[in-house]
Amino acid sequence: MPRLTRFQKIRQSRPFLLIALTVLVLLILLLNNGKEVFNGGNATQLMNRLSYQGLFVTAMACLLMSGGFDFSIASQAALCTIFFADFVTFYPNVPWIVFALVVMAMAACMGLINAFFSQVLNLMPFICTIGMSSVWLGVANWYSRGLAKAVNVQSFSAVASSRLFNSPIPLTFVFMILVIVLYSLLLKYTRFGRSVMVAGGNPTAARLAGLDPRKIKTALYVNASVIAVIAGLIYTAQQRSAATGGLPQATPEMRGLTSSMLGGVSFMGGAGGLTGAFFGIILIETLAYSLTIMNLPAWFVLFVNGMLLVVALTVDSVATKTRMRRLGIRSSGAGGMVMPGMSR
Amino acid sequence: MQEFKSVPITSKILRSKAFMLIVLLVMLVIVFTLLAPLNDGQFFKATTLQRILSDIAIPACLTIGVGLLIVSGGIDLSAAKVGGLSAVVISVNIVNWGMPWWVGVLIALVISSVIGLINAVLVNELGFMPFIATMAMSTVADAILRLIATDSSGVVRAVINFKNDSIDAINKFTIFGLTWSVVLLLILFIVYGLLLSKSKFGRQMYFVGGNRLAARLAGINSKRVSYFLFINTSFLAGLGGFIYTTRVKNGGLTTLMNDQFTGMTAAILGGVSFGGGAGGLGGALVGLIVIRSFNQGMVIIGASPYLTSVLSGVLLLVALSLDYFSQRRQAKRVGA
Amino acid sequence: MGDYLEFNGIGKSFPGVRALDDISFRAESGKVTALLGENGAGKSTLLKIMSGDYKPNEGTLTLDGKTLNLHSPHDAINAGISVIYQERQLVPSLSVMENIFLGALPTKFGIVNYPKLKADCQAILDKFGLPIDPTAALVSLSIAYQQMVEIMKAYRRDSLVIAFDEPTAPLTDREIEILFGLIRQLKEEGKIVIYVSHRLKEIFEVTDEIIVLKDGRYVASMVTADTSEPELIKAMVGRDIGDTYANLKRNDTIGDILLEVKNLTTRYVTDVSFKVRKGEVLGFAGLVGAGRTEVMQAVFGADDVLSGEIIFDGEPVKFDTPHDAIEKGMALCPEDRKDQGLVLWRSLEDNISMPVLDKLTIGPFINTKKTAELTKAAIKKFDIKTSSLDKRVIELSGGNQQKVILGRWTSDLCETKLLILDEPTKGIDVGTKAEIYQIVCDFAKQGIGVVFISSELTEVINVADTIVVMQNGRINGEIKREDATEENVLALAMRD
Repeated sequence: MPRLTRFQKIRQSRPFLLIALTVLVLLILLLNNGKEVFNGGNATQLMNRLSYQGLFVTAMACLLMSGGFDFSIASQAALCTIFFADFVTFYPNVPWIVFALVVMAMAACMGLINAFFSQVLNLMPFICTIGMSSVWLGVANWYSRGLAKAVNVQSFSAVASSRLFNSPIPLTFVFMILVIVLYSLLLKYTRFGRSVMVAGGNPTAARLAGLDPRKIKTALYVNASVIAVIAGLIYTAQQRSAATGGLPQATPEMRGLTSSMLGGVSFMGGAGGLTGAFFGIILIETLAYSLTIMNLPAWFVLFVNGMLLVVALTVDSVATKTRMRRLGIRSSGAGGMVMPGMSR
Repeated sequence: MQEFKSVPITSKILRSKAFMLIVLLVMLVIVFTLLAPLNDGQFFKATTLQRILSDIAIPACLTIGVGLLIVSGGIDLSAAKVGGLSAVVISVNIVNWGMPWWVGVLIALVISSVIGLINAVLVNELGFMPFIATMAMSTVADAILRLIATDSSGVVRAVINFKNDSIDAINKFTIFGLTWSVVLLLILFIVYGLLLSKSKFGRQMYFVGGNRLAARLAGINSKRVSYFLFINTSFLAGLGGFIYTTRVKNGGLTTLMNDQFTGMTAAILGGVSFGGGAGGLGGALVGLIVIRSFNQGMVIIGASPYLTSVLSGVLLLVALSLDYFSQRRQAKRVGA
Repeated sequence: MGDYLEFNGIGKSFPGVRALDDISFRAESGKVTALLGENGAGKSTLLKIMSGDYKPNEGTLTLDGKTLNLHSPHDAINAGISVIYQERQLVPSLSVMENIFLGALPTKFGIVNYPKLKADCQAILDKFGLPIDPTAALVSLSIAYQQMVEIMKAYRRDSLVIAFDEPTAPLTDREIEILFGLIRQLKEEGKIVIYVSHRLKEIFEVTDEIIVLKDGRYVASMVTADTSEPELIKAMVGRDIGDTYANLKRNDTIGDILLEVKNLTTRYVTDVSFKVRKGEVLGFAGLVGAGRTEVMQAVFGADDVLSGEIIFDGEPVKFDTPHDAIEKGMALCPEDRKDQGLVLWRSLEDNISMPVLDKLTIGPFINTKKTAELTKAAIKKFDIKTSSLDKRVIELSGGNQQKVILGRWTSDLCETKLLILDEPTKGIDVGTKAEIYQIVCDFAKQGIGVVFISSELTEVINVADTIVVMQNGRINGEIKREDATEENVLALAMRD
């Protein structure tokens, strides 16, 4: 059977395509606006955005690989950071990292609630987490009365403003890269990481091999919530305030979903890797940013995002069909005994 | 000829979801009547009922559309956004475009229906899962909404207020002492209720939702059913947006967003099953009245308006969980 | 040597059906034991008991002297039994080596030791001489090699018992050779190999012993080398049919040609031609997966026709959807009642009126009185046992459910000219089966052409006027009822 050379493998991979598209976007930007678009400020701003969006993508991609989905991570992050803002304001003497850990624990509980609905009650993850997102956002609004809460802690804001060796690269961006590398390694090299792919790719095979897909997914729901809160904290440090409007409006779930699927992570679980998802978000954010710099209106950016999701879905659905054919699986019609509201 | 006993009507009523909901409604009314004085208010009065009824027409449009879609095994998460888009189109037309108000309404309804058509194409031709396809279209609708809400200086206006005598007149229009929106609500529920429960087409919706493959092999054109329902849902959402503008006289970025799940929740609470193939609009109407009374009650006892969003999420989850348990009980009963 | 898997008096019942009865035999290590029998003989049930999917009602399974108590498939695997089904339990996006070592990756402190994994995997693949790259993704392999990976997984688990369920169905001749090489090697390693197949040629090629099952009972145990095809077929067939068929009132006036299919080819079947006359019952015999259902689905417009011609009632037709076929007077009772036939959670009335809703309306509304009459007529005609018209069909028994589907197509409003029955007696008790045979003959008497697909040989050769025998998506031959015996039909169905 023919083996691909390393070069062919790289050329055919999703990340390569995504990087090429990103370069294309940047090229268009350069031709349109001239060299000054690449001054330090712009690049830093883009990297700032990537540092929290990249974390959201990590959370979302891992969950998708296991066959789960969570639409509420941004709302969870918003709620937790608002609590965090109040904690650090009321107890200025306690180091902020303590409260960061407290809200991470809170997020873990929220992740457990999602896992309960989707894994114990077998509700469709997509719908029940949309419901939860409304709950958390509502609680956040209720608690904060819809107002932004300022965070005036020098050491905390320093997290966002620190740069790597006087370069324009924010430390948070480096942190995000490290997290992605760490998770890629975990997914690739640990027993648990591999079982994530098994649980998502073929739950029956996982059970036969002695793995418990429910436990694996529960762990990933909790993991997604915790990473999302870390992303939320980075965002809060950048903005120096926590509010209900900020994060959820950046629609990190939709972006996480789009970039994961562009990067080859399937909506049906069990495929793809973090590298692809990472370059997916880089493409999306670069595109969004370029559109803004080119002074294209906000609605257009939104429109492009919606269309990108449709494109990503089409790519994924075609890939799934091809895979099914290769596996010799005939797609059967809808079964008669569908238990309503249940997940696959 | 063999005689068949049919289930007595009384026990049928007692067993229905709608009956359970009416009991729940009575309990809600009692609780709120008792709690209202704490906030110097009064729940049990004519204006409360009037408010609940006249506001209900807007989410009712969403409930009917989404409810029918769920019966046939689909879902539409873009309906509320489409309604908001319709409200913005109508408002902007009166303020900026200067065409007669009814032209704006027509344009809004056409745009809504086209979005429904695109939903149907994504689901039926490209094979996307309905919830994710409509979610993506919701983003696209939001983009169009912002495009239309952008004024000549390039600023996106959050709320577009307008003044129009004809729309004022429509708002004040009453039939036999009932606000026109209440009359419309009744007509819609009767027409769609009959369509679902008594007509051939309604029966086909149940078949497609219950077992799409069996329906196809029995000669039912399930694609046609699906196309009609997606377009119908968006059209009704557009109509909801129109009713909104007549009552509030504006349209904006967050119009109808509080009702994002109302349609889905009311329908599922009322017994429309999430997997399709079961339930009716009567239950959905009662479900909607329960949700609205609850919201209104919370306002009267002085709860934070943000609580509404929390409760709408909680209610959705409660409805889904109840649906899950009732399905499991039924499956167990018939030994499946 | 000397290990064995022993079945002691295994019995299994499902509601209304006795699937296995007192099965006792022994499969020895270093030998390939074939399980042979017609459709419904109980082979799959036996495999499912071995794999822990079903618990037997009576009897025990003994491996190597120890009685096994299997509660789940996972238990069976731990006990050293691997059953390889056509539906492979692999993860498509993972590499070959990870699939082979699924759930047992070599790790150090939770870190996967990839070099060791690759070496171990390569060692196994080399041992069997399989030219597979351990690091290749599973999806990049052909179906045959994916199956090899599944076998290697069972081997890696040190399973003592490896059972194959129809392993050659999706393979080409060359691939089958590789598979057989593999099976012989497993045999030499001292494994207990159990092989389920319909293909006699393969059974003679690869197995050492043959256990013949019939109607859930043990019939005979034979040494492959000492037996012959006719002897095997004789052991598989022959059952006491009583007077069920003798009492059938058949139609003897067969009319003109109603349906003619010429050289039909689809994704699943090749070059299929046959004719159905008015008033004729045309039987389709063959083993599971022979392509009978697929032919009729294509004729009915539910699957794409790649080439060929269909002439129905004198005119050439090409149906894009079942709806078109129904309009012309075709009707299909699908193979899987619950999945394809009924809307289980809707009422009897709804399910019967489904295809004729158009004719039951006043304006846009449904004429409830007419619908009730239609339903009552069907209930009376087929003697459907139900307490009310709006009873949900999920609450009816299998036989009554089947009658609901028959009632759907044969009401006065439905001008059915051709009725396609796909396994109409599957999972139905004996009494109702006899009723259904008579119903089929009654249809023929009314001049309806009936296509009767069945995997039960006795019923197809006794009910049908002409029997078409299929294998591997092709027609192997046609036999008249007068000439048909179970032996010659089965021999034709298992020709290669």
